[in-house]
Amino acid sequence: MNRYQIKKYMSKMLFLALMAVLTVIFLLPFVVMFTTSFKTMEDAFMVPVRIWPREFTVRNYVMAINKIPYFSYMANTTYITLMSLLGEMLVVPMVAYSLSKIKWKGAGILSGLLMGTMMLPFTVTMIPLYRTWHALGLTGTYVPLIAPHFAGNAYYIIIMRQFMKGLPNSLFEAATIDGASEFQKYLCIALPLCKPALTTVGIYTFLAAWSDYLAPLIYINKRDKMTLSLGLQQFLNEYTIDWTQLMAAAVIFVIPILLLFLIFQRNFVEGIATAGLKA
Amino acid sequence: MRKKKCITRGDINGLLFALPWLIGFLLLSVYPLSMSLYYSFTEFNPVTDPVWIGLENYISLFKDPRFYKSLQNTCFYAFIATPINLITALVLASLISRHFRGRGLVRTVFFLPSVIPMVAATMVWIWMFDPTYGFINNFLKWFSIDGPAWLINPKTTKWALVMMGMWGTGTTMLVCLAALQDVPGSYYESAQMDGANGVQRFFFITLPCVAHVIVYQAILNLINAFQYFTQVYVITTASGGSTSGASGGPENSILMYPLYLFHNAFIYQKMGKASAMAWILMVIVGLLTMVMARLSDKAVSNAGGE
Amino acid sequence: MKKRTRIISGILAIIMGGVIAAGCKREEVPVPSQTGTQAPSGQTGGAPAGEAAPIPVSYWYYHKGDEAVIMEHVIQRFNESQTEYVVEGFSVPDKQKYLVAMSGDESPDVIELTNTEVVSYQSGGLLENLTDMGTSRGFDFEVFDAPAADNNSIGGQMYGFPITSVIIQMFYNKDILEQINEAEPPKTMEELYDMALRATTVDADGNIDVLGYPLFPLASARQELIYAFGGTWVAEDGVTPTADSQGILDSLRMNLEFRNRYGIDKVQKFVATGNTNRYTPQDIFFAGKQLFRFDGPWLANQITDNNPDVNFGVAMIPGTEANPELLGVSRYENTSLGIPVGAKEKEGAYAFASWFATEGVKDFLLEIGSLPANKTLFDDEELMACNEVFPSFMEALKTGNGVPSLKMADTAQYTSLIEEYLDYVYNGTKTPEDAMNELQKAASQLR
Repeated sequence: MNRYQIKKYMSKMLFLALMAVLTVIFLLPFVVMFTTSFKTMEDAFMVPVRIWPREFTVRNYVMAINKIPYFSYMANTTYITLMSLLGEMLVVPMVAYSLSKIKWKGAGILSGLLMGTMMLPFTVTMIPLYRTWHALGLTGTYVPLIAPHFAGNAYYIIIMRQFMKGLPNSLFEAATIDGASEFQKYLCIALPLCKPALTTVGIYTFLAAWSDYLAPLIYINKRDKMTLSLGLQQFLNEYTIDWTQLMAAAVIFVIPILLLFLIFQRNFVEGIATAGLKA
Repeated sequence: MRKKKCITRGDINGLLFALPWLIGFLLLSVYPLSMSLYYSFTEFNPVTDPVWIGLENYISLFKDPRFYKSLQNTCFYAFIATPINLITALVLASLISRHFRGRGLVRTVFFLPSVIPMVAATMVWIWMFDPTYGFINNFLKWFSIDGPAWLINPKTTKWALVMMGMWGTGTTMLVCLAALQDVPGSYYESAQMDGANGVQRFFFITLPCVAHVIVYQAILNLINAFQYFTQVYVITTASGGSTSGASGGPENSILMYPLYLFHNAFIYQKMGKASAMAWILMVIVGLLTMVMARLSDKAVSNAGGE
Repeated sequence: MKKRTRIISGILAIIMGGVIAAGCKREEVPVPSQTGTQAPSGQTGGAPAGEAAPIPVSYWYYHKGDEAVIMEHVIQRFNESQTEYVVEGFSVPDKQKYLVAMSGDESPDVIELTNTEVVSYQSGGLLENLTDMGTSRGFDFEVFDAPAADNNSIGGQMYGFPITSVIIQMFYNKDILEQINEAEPPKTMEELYDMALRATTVDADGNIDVLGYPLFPLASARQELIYAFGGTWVAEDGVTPTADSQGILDSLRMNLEFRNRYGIDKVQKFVATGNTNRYTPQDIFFAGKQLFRFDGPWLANQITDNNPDVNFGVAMIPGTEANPELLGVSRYENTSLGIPVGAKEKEGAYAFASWFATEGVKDFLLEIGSLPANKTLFDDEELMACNEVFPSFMEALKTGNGVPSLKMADTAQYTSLIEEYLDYVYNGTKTPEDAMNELQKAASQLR
């Protein structure tokens, strides 16, 4: 009995140790990013490497913010992100509602098309889309980055559809009997009940828009219109890379999203879990 | 007969609700898709008009060793790195599906990498991969292992990507975790009574129950693997050794298919060839998805679910 | 089962839609090309010409950060020098954006160009013919150094005004040279190799401490080390690949011998770290860990900025025993200014570009620390004084041993192939002979 307890205790300790090691490994890049951003160049290039800086300096941050117009990039990125969010929030639940709660002939085909677009590689549409936006004179503006979100992302629609399917039909039938129009049912019954799924989609959209790289790389061509992810690339100079400044820039790029994550952590985790299970 | 012809109120409503997406689908998917098919039979750069050249783009691609190389690299990522990532996700998920103190924290930490922008994460990793100042090799040194020049040695570049992928597998992990927690506890109890050990329980209860979720995640990850771009783009531009501006890493060992497509379109200015590549990719991904979907059906029916 | 049918139907629908639409959409011609060279100058502003508001001219350059500031100074000087035009500069470091923006209505009026871009843009019909524009306006093309003019010409017509020249020469660490009892830098590659072996040191694990042979920076190792053996990537015409020529093979054999002696993986690691901290205070050359460094004149500025202690000298890159006349051999590249055919304000663009290439260039070179492409500045004392190594570099410029840039339409592809195949050799994946034969075969497919 005693031996059994010891064995159990040992295995528990071993398990906790393993978790601790894994935690450290997963955190390491963050730690490296963070501490390097406070290092002097000399410290950063010291052998053997030490995690903690010998002398803390905020110079990298000052330099990084001066090197790129950080706050205007931040404003640009925020603007794009919020507009994208608005688009997805408006459209995704509507389309999902149509596919899950309205009985109509096109629903089946549409669902198939949704699956189809999901696997459509971005690279396939990249060149023609560029030419189209260009012909419309909209390259260099944020329209090509934002407009697609007002059509709804297929993946998000599928998540939302699965969620809406789970809402009890009786609710909607009762409303129909009371004479509610389809739009009223959508607005007053479906939407409020969809909050968890909406949050999930919102978070996905936020992450995607905030970190988007390829689309701004192709469409944004003026320095003052750049986003943070492009701004970060400016630190990769052809001649030299100032690693400490780069890390400082990365930290201030990542911080807003980390904060957001810590605040909405629960929604993140639950949303992603349900999305993955139900879709 | 009659029913089929008449358009119901529901049809109108359904169409109206789906209209934004339908318009988007036509303008942002169907139209560019068909244009890119047409472009794939033409030759042009961003400023000239497409000139019809028939199958020439496809022929020159099939003769182009680099096309195969990029396909091979992408296949490596899709069929070696993706399964590794999936397994990592599953293992991590099953670890934190147990109850222990600090579980919430550990889950957060595992998931954290997935929320930070790819560009930033990649730059940090490039720094960590430096053979002298990077943490990876300094860490290996503790165990008296002489680590390689990860991003310069063509034999290790892909494994560097694998490591980055394993680190960033948080989303998949969360989904797996949720699936694991959905497995009814009674299954395990009865299995334990039947004398099944941990491994048996995993293979005979857990795995069948989460199979459909894993297959679905596999499909998603696979599709993403074929679009793997940002990381390699950042790594190859940061390495600075290339004068052509079209580097695919040492020996082009991380020249992923989308990166080569990008080079063709925007550096070599062969938009037609790039469009042909895009269509080939499209067909590959389509076929793969179908195969995986079939597997998924099988997995689910094997598991006796749904 | 249901899911699968849906997916299949989705794919079918997409493909069918695609085929149908492709059939209809053939005539789409969204891009206005050639607006004609004689663009009226009032087009953009709409204001009557004369003393009205200056006409805006947009100028895109790829410099960023501090260099962008220097570029803005040039623009400012131009704007102050006259009242007709006002140039607006944009730092656009992403090269692919130039290409996509030049398609008509968004095209900048003036762009900064590399030699490769001159060739590729010209082959796409994207650049104005500056010989035509300049001749009718009385421009003196004689001011440009012959190779620089050649780099910017295709079929005898100029498409770019060269602003700066880039050549590479040999920096060496005097202290290390002294340690191996040498008073003078090497005169031939054979001597250089011998010194390199004596200077290279390794630690107990075999990791390299001091690198003798100039394997870093990577681009120099790919070019000047080859040129020094008389190898060139193309024949005299600038377009016929000669990847399997004797000089290239000789160079690669010596290179590989060095790598094998110290271990390919050890060299890789040393070079990787050198690459990470390039031009930082811990740069391997600044830190005294590199005997020979083939690099540009900017290295001297970097040394001054980062570590004034390193005791270095500059000499011309040697040839081989068989080809001593190659002394001073180097790539010869320029940055130039070009006018896209889609530019709206071509008069203003020409005014700015021609001013920059002649009157404006000296102040720019002084500030940014680059070598001139303008012959009249080759003996300029102010310029000589702005960088301690400029006198040596100007000497090398005058030898005429500069290797002009490639002129193939597919230059970017060839360069990229060269990089790939040299990787094979350096990593020991393929023998020099095999790799270069394959490269030659692959290159012969290019235009």
